[in-house]
Amino acid sequence: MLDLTHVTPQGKGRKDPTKDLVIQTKGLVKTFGSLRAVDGLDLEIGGGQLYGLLGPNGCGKTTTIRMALGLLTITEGWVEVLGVRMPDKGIMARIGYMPQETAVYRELTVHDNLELFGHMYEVPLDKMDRRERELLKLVALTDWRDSMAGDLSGGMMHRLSLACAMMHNPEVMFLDEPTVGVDPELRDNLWHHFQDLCKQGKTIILTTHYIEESRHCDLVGLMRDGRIIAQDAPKSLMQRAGTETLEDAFLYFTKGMTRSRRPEKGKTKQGRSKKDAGGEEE
Amino acid sequence: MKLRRTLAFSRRVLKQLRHDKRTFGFILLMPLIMIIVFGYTFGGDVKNVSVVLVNEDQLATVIIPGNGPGNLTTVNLTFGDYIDKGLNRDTLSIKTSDDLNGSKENVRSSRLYSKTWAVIYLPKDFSRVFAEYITNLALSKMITNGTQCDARGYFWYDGSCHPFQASNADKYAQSSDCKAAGFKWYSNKCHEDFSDKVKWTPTECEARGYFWYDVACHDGADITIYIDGANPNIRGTVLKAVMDALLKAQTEVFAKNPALKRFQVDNPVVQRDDYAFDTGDIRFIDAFAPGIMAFAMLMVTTMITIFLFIEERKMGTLERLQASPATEAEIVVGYALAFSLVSVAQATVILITALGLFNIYIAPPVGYHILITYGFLILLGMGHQCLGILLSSGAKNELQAIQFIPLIIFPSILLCGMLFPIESIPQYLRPVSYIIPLTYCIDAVRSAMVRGQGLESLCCNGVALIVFLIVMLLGAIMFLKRRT
Repeated sequence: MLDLTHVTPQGKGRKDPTKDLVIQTKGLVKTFGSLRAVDGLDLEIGGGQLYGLLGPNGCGKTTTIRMALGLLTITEGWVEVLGVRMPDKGIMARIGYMPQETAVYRELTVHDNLELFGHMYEVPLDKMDRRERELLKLVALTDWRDSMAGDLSGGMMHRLSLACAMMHNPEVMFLDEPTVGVDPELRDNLWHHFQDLCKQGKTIILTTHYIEESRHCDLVGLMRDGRIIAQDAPKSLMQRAGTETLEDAFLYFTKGMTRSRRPEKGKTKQGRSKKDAGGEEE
Repeated sequence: MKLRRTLAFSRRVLKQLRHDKRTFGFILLMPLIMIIVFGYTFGGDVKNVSVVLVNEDQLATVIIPGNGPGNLTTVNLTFGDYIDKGLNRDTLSIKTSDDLNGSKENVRSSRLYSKTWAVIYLPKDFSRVFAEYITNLALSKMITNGTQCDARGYFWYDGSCHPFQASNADKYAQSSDCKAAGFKWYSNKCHEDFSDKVKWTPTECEARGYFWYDVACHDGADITIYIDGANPNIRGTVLKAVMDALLKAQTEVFAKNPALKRFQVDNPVVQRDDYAFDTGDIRFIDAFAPGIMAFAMLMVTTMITIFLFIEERKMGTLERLQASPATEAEIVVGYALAFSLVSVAQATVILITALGLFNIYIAPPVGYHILITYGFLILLGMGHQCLGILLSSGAKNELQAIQFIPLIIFPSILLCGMLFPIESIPQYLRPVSYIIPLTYCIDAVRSAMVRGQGLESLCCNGVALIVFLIVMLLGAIMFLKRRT
């Protein structure tokens, strides 16, 4: 198995743009019964980018991420991460994933949780301690190192979950709603950290439904009914829509789509529920 | 498969169990409670059955004629005392009483607490019958011709010497002859009179050489056991205890009185218990403890794995592991290793309890057989832990998981041969017994601990469990690999 976990970060100024693509999907489709949760998604995310996948509940954000990670089978199309066709276990060591649910072991301490994921991703033993301290500082959990994860507040657990995803300093990170339930101040910290990471050459794809927050992203993809309806830098999106806020820009693009929607699409939209769209919540 | 990840995963499971005090308690206390409750109560050796001994027996004398006239040896004995001594004080809690009818009344009273289950009655002629029997035997053995017999004042008939003259009725051995002579035939014997015996007063009864007890005239002295037979277990125990006491008393009498030794009755057919294994003194609990070890193992691993995996799926941690370099095999084997440790800890607790409370028997060499036991328990535990992973797919939450108990656990405990021998299970259910892995594990563990068999005799059980483990292991891995 290739262990590239700790290779030097790729610079932003790569020459070959196709080589530079870290995440690429082509005609990605996922159906649950008659429902098309993801409907022909094309994504191209370059190295060192902070990419925000935005959209309402059940628009297919989580489903897309789970397909990219090999957690769901792909109905049609394909996903490549770091140039490797997914699913592929061999590449997982270079990828970090934070699920939407607060996926930590509640009967383990904060330290035990981080240590476990450190082992899972084979973080070199001599670097484990330092890495753990860095991350605890980042997510402001240093004082809770020996507390049971289950005793933490919801937001704290969420931060721990984020730290677990970053334990092995991955090249690519899939973060599903990383800022849910996090205090505004800390949220700001996190965004800055994400930006720093991307400057170091890491690639982050995250989902959020706090639309305003996505101004921190390099690139934003607006999702609706399993499709990207607009994709650009946050500022350009606002310009294109001629709006002051991203929220309004989102509404603008959504309306445009509603007009052009084919009639039979309306039917499937009716039957859409939270559960059908692959476990999307909130 | 990477060892580091596997071990990290095992450590995680163990830490999780350690932090979860309730579950930790369940793992260690459940088998403890089971072995204590089952060990003391379930169908095993009945103990402390309250019985009353009414011993009216009186001293009697055995007369053994010598070689010459007047050359007699006499032995005084009270046979009833030997019986009293021979009764097992472990199984019977014996009170003595002189009041036969009052004691019988106690047996009839239905009380839950301090109930008397039986009255053992030894009539006052009990020893006399025994003494006469030996005397008769001695006479017939010592005096072999009619002249000598008559010279001593005894009676010669039927080819041997008797202390009393034969009654007329005694001459008829066939019921037809008996009836033809005008006597009564009953109880396989010819009697002088049919109805008189019933009418006799105690004095008349004894004057005729019969025995008066139980407000009736009897042919010979017997031990009478007046018993409440409502509980077959207790009935069996009491009757067996008396029978054992009788045999023991007879052996004792002949051993204590060398003069009688030569008249010890040797039965033409003797039952000799020749045990294939050194299991002569095995009690119920000795055979049961190994079963409990295996069953507790099965229960704990299956249930806890199901719960842990439901939690793992609900919390999203399973998905997180699936999106990490950790392979399904590492997860399953990591779990298996953790549960092997759990099973060894559990088995040790059971073993120590069983040794401490019940002093259970372990065939020598003890260490070797305990090792074999642990080996089989680990095999079973790992197999069932994989089964738990598979079952967890069929349950959305803990409530649904509980429903697997009657489905998996009950058939296992009832059909595995721990409580009821497989032979006594109805034919159509028996194939189920043979596909239950617990059956093979319990048999192996019992064979090792009780029969003292080594690995070489248990390879079939081992193969069965290994096949089960491999199938379950692959099943669990495949199940975890499944994606929607």
